[in-house]
Amino acid sequence: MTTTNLNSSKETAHFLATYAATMLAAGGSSARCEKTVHRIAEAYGTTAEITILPHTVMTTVWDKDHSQSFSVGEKLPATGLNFYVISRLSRLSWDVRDNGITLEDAKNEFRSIMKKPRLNPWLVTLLTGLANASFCRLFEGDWRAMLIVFIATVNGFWIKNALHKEWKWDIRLAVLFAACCSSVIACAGFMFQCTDTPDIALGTSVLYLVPGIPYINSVSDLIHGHLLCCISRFIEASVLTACLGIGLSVGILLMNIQYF
Amino acid sequence: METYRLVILAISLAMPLFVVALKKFTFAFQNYKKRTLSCQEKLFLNNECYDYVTAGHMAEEEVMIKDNETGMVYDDYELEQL
Amino acid sequence: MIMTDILLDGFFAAIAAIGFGSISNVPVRAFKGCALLAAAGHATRFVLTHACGWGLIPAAFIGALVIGFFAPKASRHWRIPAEALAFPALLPMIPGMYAYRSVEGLLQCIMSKDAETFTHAFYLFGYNGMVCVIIVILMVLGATVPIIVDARRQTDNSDTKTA
Repeated sequence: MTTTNLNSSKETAHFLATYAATMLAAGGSSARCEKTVHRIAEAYGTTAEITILPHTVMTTVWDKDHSQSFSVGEKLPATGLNFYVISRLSRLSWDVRDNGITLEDAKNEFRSIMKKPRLNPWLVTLLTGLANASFCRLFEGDWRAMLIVFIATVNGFWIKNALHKEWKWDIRLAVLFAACCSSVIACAGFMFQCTDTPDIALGTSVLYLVPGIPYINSVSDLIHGHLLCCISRFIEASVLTACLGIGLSVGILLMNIQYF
Repeated sequence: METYRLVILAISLAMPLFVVALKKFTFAFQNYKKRTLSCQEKLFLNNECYDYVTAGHMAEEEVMIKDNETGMVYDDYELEQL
Repeated sequence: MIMTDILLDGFFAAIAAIGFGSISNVPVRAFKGCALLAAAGHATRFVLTHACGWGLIPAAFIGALVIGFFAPKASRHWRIPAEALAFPALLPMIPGMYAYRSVEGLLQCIMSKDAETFTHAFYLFGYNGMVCVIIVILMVLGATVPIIVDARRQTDNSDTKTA
C-alpha cells in the first residue's frame, strides 16, 4: 500500500464529499447523486458509498485493494436550488469517466462551476411574474386578473428574496410574509371590482411560493428507495406550503374578504 | 371600511421599497456607529500608542490622532512624516 | 375542442415552466426544452380533461408520461440531464390549489367551534391533501419511469452517455 495511493484515495474522498454535498444542496435527487459519485469514484480506481441524511452526507471511499477507507461527513451548504450546477456536475462525472480528467482538473472545474453567478435577479422576478400570470390564465382567469396576479407576484417574490437573502430571515417567515403581501394585493380584484374572476386572481397569486421541486424530488427519492430523504424533503416542503397557506389566510383576514 | 383596506394595499405595494430602504439605512447606521466607537480605541502605529480624538463631527473617514505624552494632535499624513 | 385552445394552453404552460424554472436557475439553453416538454404534457392533460372527460388524476399521470417519454430525446439533443428538463416541465402541473385548500381546511379545523364545521373542514383538509399528494406521486412516477427505462436501455445497448 503506497502513500501515493492512500493520499489519492483521501483526496478523492474529500473531493467526492464536497461534490455530493453540493449536488444534494442544489436540489439533485439522491439517485442522481449516488450515480455520479459512483461514476467518479470508479474512474479514479476507488469505490465510494454515500449515506444521505437530511442535512449532511457521509462519503466513504475505499481504495483499490479495499483495505483502507476514508469517511468524510459534510454538511449540505445552504445554497438554493440550482439546476445549472446539477447538470454541470453530472457532465463533470461523465467527463471524468470518458475523458480521464485528473483529480486536480476536476477540482478546478468544480470551482469554476460554483463561481458562475445565478441568473439576473430582475430577470428571474419578471419571469416569475409572467409564469404566475400564465398560471392564472391556465385556471381560466381573465386578462385583468392576470395583471393583478403579475403585480402581486413581482411584489411578493422581491420581498421574499430581500427578506431571506439580505435580512437573513428564516425562509418560512419570509414565505409567510410574502404570501401575505401578495394576497393583499390580489384582493384588489375584489375591492375595485375590475375583474370577473377575482377569486382566481386571489387563489393563484401565491402559487409561485409553492415549493414544487422539493415535492418532485421527494417522490423521486421515494421511487428510488431513499425513504429518509423522501420524508424529510416532503415535510420541509409541506411546512413551506403551510406557511404560504397561513400567509394567504392572514392577507384575506386583513382585507376582510369573504373568500370561503 | 374602505380606507383601511386602501392603506393596507398601499403598504403592501410599497413593501419592497421599504424592505430595501430599511436595509440600506440600518447598514449605514451600523457603519456610523462603528466609526464613532473606534474613535475611542487606541491606535498602535509605529510601535507607539496613540489615542484617537474626534475632531468635531466625524462624517469623513479622516481621523485625528493625539499623542498622549506631548499632547500634540496630528492627522495621519503628518503622523507618517514623524 | 378547438386547436387554438390547446395551443394557448400549451403556450401558457411553457411560460409557466420557464418562469418557475428560472427560480431554480435552470440554464438558459434548457429553457426551450423545458418549455416544449411542459407544453406537451400540459396540453395532453388539458385535452384529456376537457375533451375526453377524464378525471384530473389519470389525466395528470398521462401528461407526465408524455413528458417522461420525450425527456430523454430532449436531453440528448440539448445535452442536459433528463431530470433537469423534466422536473421544471412538471411544475405547471403541480396542483397548488389543492395544496393550500387543504392548508385552509386545516386552519378552519382549528378555528371551528362545533363538530359539524370541524368534520367538514377536516374532510376538506383530507380530501384536498390526498388528491394533491396522489397527483404529485403519479406525476413524478409518470415522468421518471420512462427516463429510467430509457437509461437502462442505453446501458444495455452500448456504453454511451445519455447526458
